Amino acid sequence: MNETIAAYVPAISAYQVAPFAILSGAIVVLLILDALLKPEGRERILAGFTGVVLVATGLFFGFDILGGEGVPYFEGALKADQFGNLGALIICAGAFAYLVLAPQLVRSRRLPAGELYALLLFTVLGLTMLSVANELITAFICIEIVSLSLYVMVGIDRRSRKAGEAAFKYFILGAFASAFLVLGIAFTFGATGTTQLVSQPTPVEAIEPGTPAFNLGVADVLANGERLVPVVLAEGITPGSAAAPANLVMHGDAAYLVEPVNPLWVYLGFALLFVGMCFKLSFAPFHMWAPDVYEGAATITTMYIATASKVGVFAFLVHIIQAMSNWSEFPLLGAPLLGAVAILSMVWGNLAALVQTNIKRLLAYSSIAHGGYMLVGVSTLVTPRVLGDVDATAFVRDSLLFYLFAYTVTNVVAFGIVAHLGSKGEGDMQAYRGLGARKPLLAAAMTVAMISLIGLGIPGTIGFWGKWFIFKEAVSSGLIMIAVTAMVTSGISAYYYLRLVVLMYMRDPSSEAIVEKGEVVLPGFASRAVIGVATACVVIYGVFPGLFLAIGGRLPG
Amino acid sequence: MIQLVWLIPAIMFLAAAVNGLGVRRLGAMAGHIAWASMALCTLISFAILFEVRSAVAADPGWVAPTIVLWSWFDIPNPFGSNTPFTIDFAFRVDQLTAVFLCFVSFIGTLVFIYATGYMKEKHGGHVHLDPGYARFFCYVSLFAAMMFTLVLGANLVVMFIGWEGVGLCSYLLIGYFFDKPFSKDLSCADAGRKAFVVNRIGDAGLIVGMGLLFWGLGTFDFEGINQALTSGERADGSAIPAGFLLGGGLITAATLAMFLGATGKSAQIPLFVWLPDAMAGPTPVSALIHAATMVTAGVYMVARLNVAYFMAPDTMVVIAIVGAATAFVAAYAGLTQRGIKKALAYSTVSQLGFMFLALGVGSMAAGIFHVFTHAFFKGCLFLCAGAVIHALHHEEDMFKMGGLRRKMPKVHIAYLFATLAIIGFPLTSGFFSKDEILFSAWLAERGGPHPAFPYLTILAVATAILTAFYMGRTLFLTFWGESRVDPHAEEHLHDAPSSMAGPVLVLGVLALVIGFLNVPGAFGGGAHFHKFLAPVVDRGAEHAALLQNADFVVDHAAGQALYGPLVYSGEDPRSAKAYYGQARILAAVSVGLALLAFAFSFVLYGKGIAPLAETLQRRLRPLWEISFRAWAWDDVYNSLFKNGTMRASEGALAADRGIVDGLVNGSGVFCDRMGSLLRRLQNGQVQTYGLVMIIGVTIFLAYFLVGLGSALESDGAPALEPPTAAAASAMDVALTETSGATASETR
Repeated sequence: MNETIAAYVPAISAYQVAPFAILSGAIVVLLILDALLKPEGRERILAGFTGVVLVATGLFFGFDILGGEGVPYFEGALKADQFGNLGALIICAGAFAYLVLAPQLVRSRRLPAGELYALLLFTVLGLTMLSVANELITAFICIEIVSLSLYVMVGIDRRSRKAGEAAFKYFILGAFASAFLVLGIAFTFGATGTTQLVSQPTPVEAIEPGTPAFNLGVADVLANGERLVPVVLAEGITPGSAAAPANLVMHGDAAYLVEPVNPLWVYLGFALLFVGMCFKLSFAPFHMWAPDVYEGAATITTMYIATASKVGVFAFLVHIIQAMSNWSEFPLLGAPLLGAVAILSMVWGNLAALVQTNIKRLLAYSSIAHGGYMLVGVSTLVTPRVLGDVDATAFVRDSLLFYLFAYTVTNVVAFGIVAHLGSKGEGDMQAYRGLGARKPLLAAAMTVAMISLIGLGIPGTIGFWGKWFIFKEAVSSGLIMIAVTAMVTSGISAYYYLRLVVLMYMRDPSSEAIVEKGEVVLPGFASRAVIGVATACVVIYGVFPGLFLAIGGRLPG
Repeated sequence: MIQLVWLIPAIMFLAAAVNGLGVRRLGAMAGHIAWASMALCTLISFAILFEVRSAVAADPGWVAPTIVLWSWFDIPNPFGSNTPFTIDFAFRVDQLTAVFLCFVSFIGTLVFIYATGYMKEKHGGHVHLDPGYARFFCYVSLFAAMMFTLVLGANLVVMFIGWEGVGLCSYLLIGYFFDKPFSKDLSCADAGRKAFVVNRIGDAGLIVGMGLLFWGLGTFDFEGINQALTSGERADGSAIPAGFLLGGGLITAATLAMFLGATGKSAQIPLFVWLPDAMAGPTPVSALIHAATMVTAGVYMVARLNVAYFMAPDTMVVIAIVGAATAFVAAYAGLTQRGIKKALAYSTVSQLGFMFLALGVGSMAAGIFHVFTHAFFKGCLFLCAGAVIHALHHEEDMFKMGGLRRKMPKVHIAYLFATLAIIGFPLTSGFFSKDEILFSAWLAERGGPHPAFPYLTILAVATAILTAFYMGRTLFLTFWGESRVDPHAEEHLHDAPSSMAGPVLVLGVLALVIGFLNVPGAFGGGAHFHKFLAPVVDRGAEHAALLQNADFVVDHAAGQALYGPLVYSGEDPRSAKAYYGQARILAAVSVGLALLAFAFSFVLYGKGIAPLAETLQRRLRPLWEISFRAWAWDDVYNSLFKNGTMRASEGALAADRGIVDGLVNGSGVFCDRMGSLLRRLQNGQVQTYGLVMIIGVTIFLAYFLVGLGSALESDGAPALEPPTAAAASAMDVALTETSGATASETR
């Protein structure tokens, strides 16, 4: 018996948890350093330290050290696959961009640098672990780490009433959403008897012949359509005896009843889980917090919420959907819901963006709409064509990954520029009047970002390929209605993105007030480098999407 | 060096980029950048030509290397064939390409140097650069890059990039003086648009042809196309459709469609109308693009695809007829033009017709050789015309010139040389190239099964006579006789500066002598030019001959690839030598008649405008009108297509404003309203947000409950039933000692 148990203990390589250990340790060190160092130069040292940690963490994911085969480990809590790995890499890159842009914010608003960077590392810890999570409780804890840190990051500027309000709203509604998430996890556990998504493989020698595998994941339970209910046998009842129920099975000394899963509980669990995810990803109709929070938070924090934080949650959403899609019933009711939320997000996000006058709110709605486009990709995952087809599934996942990457770099450009403009106008779009003449390079980069956000229609930017791959898979999987909605709303989005371009190039700054509003804080060298590199990515990947291979991704299709 | 051939277009792209970026700052530097880049390209081109020559000399079966710069497309075949859809961005340098590279870059260099002088004006000792000086050199550099891409492309797609690129530059340069009027109903910008639109019609044909070829042969690569057509198999071993075999309907359709593209680019009937108006561009552009290089792209394309064209004898007949007809029609229109550039433009159309006649009767090399010599003499003529126009402050009317040979002796000499070449004065370049075409047409006619053929040589000889007349007329009206120049302009009259006179003289002298590269067998020469090109451009002839009659041998030494009629008639295919005697007589007759016409033009215009000229004009009024208005081709097109199209467009515009704009604006307004509605929901109250979330959750849950309920009702799927009674009772037996927690879990 002891030998059997020993065989269960999975061999964990220290590398496989190293990035999380590094991050946890670094947070402690960072906070201690913050307390010990003298004020002068402290901020620089802390930023440098954080940067090194981020790079080190990113290397683990970039070089696929966790093992990209998608085999669960660490008692089934984690499962690193290519999608999660690259998602984590994008998160690290996003955090790094935040870090480079942050010092200016820290100085101008006199923020506590140590705390801010520690919070940043907390979010990175949560997000990267979330993107490789395989277990619902682990994921919940990750999400909470991230959420709590983000609430504080939003409200860290105590002098700003807007920021305080935003943080408060975010917190209240976030807590509300977390409740649904927990409920969803509970229902799922009730329905399937497990919180793991995919089972950790059991060593072959540990399985007695004729017994079902012991540690099943949600995916396996749903695939079999049966779950195991542990029972204690009454005296005298043994498997095979006349009194024993037909569905009694033994695993070692433990007895189980094999029961069909109840679809209602599975669906309720999924619905509530999905609600929680929808909130974090700001899918309509759970997106209401986003515009207020995006507007209230410091611009670069908004960038971080809109990009990196979404990548992690989105990666986990994909893991959940993939586990669920093992269930033959899921496409019946689950897939239409995904499609409906996608359509609602695209329509709502784009229509509401039309009437915005504040660039940060505009980008908030834009991010809601882009969430919808990503959901189109997720819906494609559960279409009959893709289900069960390993290659097609890989293609769709690759296209999603490409989209996440595209969306992140593009928003780094857009928010990076917004952060340096109109510090007094706080994102007032009028501040962009005549920017093309005043700051030609910034305006050009912004134009590139806007074109990339429009995506379809104007090739040559990364956003084009992002949408191209997603829509192509959707159309060939028969999601015509959804694809048409996506394209029509993309067309609508051109209006508000290009309006900014029109303001920059075809309008003169009409009054002194606007000139003052549109005062440009010239980005420092590091900030310029970040914006420049991101812009270059947008264009270069736009012309040569095949370069995605270079960062470890595969090209869909 | 061949591997580095990409340097040639790259250098010119770079020059274009530098001039484009520095358009406001470079000043006179722009011109120097352009011509120096072009000169560098010329050096590389000649190095490549010699490399190709020595390679061919060392190994007669030399295969032109393909230089793959990058793989452009590599996707599954959209037509469902097994061959993947791959397009490489690849160049290939063979004999044909090397020749084009050399003469394009060489003439380009001379024209660029000339343009540095042409694009500036002297006023009272001050030199003023044209306001668009750097823009001009940006465009022409880009043109050169695109032209090189066109001739270097190893497949149809890369060629097409160049094809469209030169079209774009042509459009930009025709409309270079976009703010100036050109004729009474066209501005320069209009002329550019006209060229662009007319060329689109042709390009549509080219695209259709490319698509057909790809569909049938599975490749865009020229070598692949040749292989597939000669072997009858695609690269993957499958057989090509029957329509692509000799004389098949599909290959005929494909080649005809592509020939439509050639009629657009190379200004043939029915699409030649844009070229005379293309003279709205600066004169160096007319010389380089609209005489020497771009307009010969159609000829190049046909010669490049000669195997495909030889597989479609019907297309060849069409090409021959279109070429001969264009040659005659345009030459006739050239007889009466007043503008010197206009006359030269019609002359260009006419000469291009000669080239297509050569292609159509199967003598690809003769067509290319005429492209080559024409580039020199027509380039020279245009540059001379430009020098005259420049000196006279943009006066183009020949009736307001006259006697300029005294004031501009250098330009006159060059113009005289080039005129002698174009009218085919013995031993000049035009003599050899035109004679080869006439001879080819004559041979085609001898064996001609086609009823149209006997008239083609007659048309060609008639064209040669007309050419001699109108070229003599331009020469004498401009440079001879008494001066009719406006006295005010005459004061400032000066010979061309050396930057202009130098290139003009070089071209003039070359126009005289360059024909000796290809003296045909009938005149005791070795036809070196033809023999050099033969492995590329006579492949189709050889293959067609092989298909028809295995004994047939193409006689390169004779300077002729015997085409079609001889081949297809199945007649005993004799060596062309048997026809040498006829060739000599033909040459003597055509040259003799041409010289007579030249002399007649001297009588009319040699000493001022003779009264006889005016009498003739009055007596032959209808004929004169037909010529002067260029057969009213433009008017016919205007009434047939343009006016109807305009009216239809106006109707469409009204419908567009009323209905489509209404819908579009309406949908915009609708979206805006919806956005405002949604904004009202976003009121900043956390309670509202929470409420919306609750509604969302409720809908989700209700959706699943209702959905499951209806699924139960509809089919009562077993999976959806609660645990059965039997299972429940079995559980009671088993679970005598279950804990509460476990019990609740089972429910």
